[in-house]
Amino acid sequence: MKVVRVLAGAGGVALMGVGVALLVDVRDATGVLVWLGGAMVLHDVVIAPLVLLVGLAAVRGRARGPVRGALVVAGALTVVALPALLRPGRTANSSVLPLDYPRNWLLALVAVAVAAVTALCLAARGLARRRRPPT
Amino acid sequence: MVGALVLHVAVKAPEIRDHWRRRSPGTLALPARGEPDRRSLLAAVGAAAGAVTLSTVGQSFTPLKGFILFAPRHPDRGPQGLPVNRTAAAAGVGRIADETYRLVVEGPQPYTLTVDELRALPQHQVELPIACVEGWSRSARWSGVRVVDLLERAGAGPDARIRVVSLQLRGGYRVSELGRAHARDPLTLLALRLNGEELDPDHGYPVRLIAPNRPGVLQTKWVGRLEVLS
Repeated sequence: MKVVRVLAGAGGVALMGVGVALLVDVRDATGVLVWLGGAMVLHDVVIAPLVLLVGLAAVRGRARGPVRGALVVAGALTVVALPALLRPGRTANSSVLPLDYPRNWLLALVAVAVAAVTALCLAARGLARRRRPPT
Repeated sequence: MVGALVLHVAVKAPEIRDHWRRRSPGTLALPARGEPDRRSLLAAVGAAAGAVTLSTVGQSFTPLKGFILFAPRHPDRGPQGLPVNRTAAAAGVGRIADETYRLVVEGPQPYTLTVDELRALPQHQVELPIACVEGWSRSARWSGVRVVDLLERAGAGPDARIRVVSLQLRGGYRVSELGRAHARDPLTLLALRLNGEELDPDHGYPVRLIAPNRPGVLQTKWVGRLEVLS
């Protein structure tokens, strides 16, 4: 275990070295910093607190597991769909962004809602069964 | 970033192991049912990653194309059921007329070919994808003339590389080069037909390059000239 850890750690440091060596070739490092740091700031300062707040404020009671799960899935799908939903102007040709993305987004949200309700029903049934005294 | 992750796992391995073990203190201290817990978080994150993958991966993994909801491309959408990046109109070539078209092969024994002469040469069929660095890919059945046959007719040596020049007027990647291995590969074609039909102008009518293991932008369309490089 210890040997594996040391080897893995050394491999990690070596990989980081490769990254630094590649960074030397980059003429303008500010773009890289903005990209890497921006992703971190966006996640830690905006997305994570927002998700936690929504989870805390909007979902209460016994059934929160499936509802929170549904919100996480729907949020991830929305973020992925956003560029296609906000498509700016005309596309280069008809094979670029060829689908009806608003319709697909609504379909996805409906599917997530159906899955969440199903999970809730199953959970409620399980709860009722456990409460019933054994016969 | 991968390096930092590997180092992190190596340093934290005992804690990670304790955390996931059935009998570890962390597991025994798990909250009662209905409270927030690791398992439901893991399930939610897993479901989100799965849903995102399933709704987009079909643009490059065609067996899952039926599940595409948000991918910027659909493998069946485009001229002749194949997506396109630069159309004939965008490249400024339009529909190239058979009467004026000539394929110029420059080498030790240069020659030119008309469209009919290209069609009369031995035709070969290959199944190869257009794999775009943008993230989509789509396999198709191409048929046309082997590049190695054209090279040998031009008297090219066994180590010859070639430069492929397009007739396109606008846009990048007008010229691409084929190394020795690509040039002599029997799968490398100047394709005249796509899935049994003549190429659509948007796919490079009258001929386009199709070679294995090559990004889509280098599969030059509207090929007008092959130059043998020593």
